[in-house]
Amino acid sequence: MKHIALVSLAVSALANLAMPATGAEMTGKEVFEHYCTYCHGSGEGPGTMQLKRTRGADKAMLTERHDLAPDYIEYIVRHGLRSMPPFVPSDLTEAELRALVAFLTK
Amino acid sequence: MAEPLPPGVNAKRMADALERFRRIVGGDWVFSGEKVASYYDPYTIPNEAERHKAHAAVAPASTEQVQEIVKVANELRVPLWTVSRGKNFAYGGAAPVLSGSVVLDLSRMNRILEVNEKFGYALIEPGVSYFDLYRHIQERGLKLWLDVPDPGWGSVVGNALDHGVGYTPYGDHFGMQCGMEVVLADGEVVRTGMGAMPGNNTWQLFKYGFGPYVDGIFSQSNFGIVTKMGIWLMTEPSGYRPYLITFPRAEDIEQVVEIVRPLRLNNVLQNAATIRSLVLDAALFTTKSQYYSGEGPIPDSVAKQIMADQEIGMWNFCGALYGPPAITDVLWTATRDAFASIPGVKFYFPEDRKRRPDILIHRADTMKGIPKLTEFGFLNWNGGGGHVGFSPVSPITGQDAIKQFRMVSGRVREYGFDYMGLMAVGFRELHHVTVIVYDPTSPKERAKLNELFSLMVREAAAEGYGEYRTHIHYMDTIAGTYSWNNNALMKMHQTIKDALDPNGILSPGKSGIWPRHLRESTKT
Repeated sequence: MKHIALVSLAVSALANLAMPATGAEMTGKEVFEHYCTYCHGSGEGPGTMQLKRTRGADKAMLTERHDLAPDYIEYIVRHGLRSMPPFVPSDLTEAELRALVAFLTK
Repeated sequence: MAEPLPPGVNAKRMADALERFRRIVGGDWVFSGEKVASYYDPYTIPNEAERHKAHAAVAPASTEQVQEIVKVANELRVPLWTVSRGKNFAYGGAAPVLSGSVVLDLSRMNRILEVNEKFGYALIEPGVSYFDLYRHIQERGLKLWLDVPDPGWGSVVGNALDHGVGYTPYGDHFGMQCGMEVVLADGEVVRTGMGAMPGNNTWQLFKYGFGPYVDGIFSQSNFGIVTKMGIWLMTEPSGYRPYLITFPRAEDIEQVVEIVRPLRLNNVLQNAATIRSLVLDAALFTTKSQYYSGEGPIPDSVAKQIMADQEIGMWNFCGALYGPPAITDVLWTATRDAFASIPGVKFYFPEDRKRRPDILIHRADTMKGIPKLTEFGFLNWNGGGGHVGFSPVSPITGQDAIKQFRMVSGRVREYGFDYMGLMAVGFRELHHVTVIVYDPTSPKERAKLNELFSLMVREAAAEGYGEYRTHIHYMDTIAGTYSWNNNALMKMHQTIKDALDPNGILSPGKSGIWPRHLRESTKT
């Protein structure tokens, strides 16, 4: 029993140290930086480079665009487009998606 | 299109299961109807629309919730398809082999339970990505390095379980795992290795514990659900020096690999280095249309132009030196001298590369464990966006390397695709990974890809080359090539499956392993 108690204590201590990898209340900017910036955050990102080639330089950076409709953003995030795969709602949550849409359409 | 139901499960029973899952995880974490689309394979291969389609997804937040879900699935005979984060996109993403399965999505189980700098390990849940773990280590200033695959958004646990590889000295990811927690099909929780001993403090330090070493049966399998895993991390070295060596001719691969073998076996090559082909590297930062507007693969004249423009070769050897200069200087001298005899060879360090973006500057990050998504640039090569990996394994010999290169590149080009391959140098073997980039929206292209892939599997198997990992669509096909002694290995897998999961609810069809009640009906 002593051993079981020690293990329980250890697991409990681990759980207390545990931190969620993503914040539940991220702002739209934080959502973009967390999920999108690796492909869309710089000129060398594969998403930015592809948009530059297919849509033109003025539409390459998502954060500098003003023509993105909320429904379109939601659809692409959930369904993907060409090389961009979809994001599942357990990962990029519905609340985070709303914040992201607000950030990209402000 | 209504979401498909799995064999033997009617709509009423499935609705009951989803309702009970909602009671376990909360209504926000069961996804059905339109929301299931995010779980489809974005780079689908078969033209039959009903293949590999999930019915729904459920996302638990704890081991206890996984146990409860499994018990319900067992009672109602509803198949679950487990994914850690579902980012294994070259091999099917979050999509199941068996249509109608409910995806058991572990993305929310994303706790980093411990990172131990003293001993160099982490204990994590399956929803933790490479980005998450890297960020955690950086924020705390810990002197530890990850080993990362090319896409940093994937699961550390999932990649190890699927035998993924990286590019530091810790490049064999499953080789670096130490200790698991596993939920079995009946809801029982098992801890492997030293974790089975109450009060023990070496769960993440010693793999084998006492008795049979079982961790391997939970990799690439459907025998249990891994809910925690230990992974060894590399101590930050006192020095780091990445390099690039280029070779100008396709046939150089034979001599290059002959040189690599003794260097690797003697640990002169410290890391899981890669020998990458021209188009794979060129495609990271340029597109085919910038160089060639004709049909089919690029001709030799275009290849030469790309080589000149980007200062790369037909083969590009990306490696790195780790440790104090007194050691790495000696290792570099031995490496350079070994390759110097190849005509046209060129040697580069990062400071020699002026072009931006540049392959060595990019790979220098990856070989020190910085997670990225830059490698996905190759998906834009021909605008198609889809990709699938063909990944046979061979000994580290020049003869095997050039034979495989000719077999695969010949077929790939014959079918109109460019050859985009790499040879990753393991401890004793080469992983020859070829990505075929295609247009997943074109039924004609999908059919062509399917014919090509099936042909390459058969031809590789005829020469004794087996794939180490594959897309969900080819799991039966690849499993069928491991057929020695009248399929004795598969028979053993099936025996284990029937014992641990008699109702066959865990990931039916994973790695070609089907539960008893589906074995006949799923024969292809």
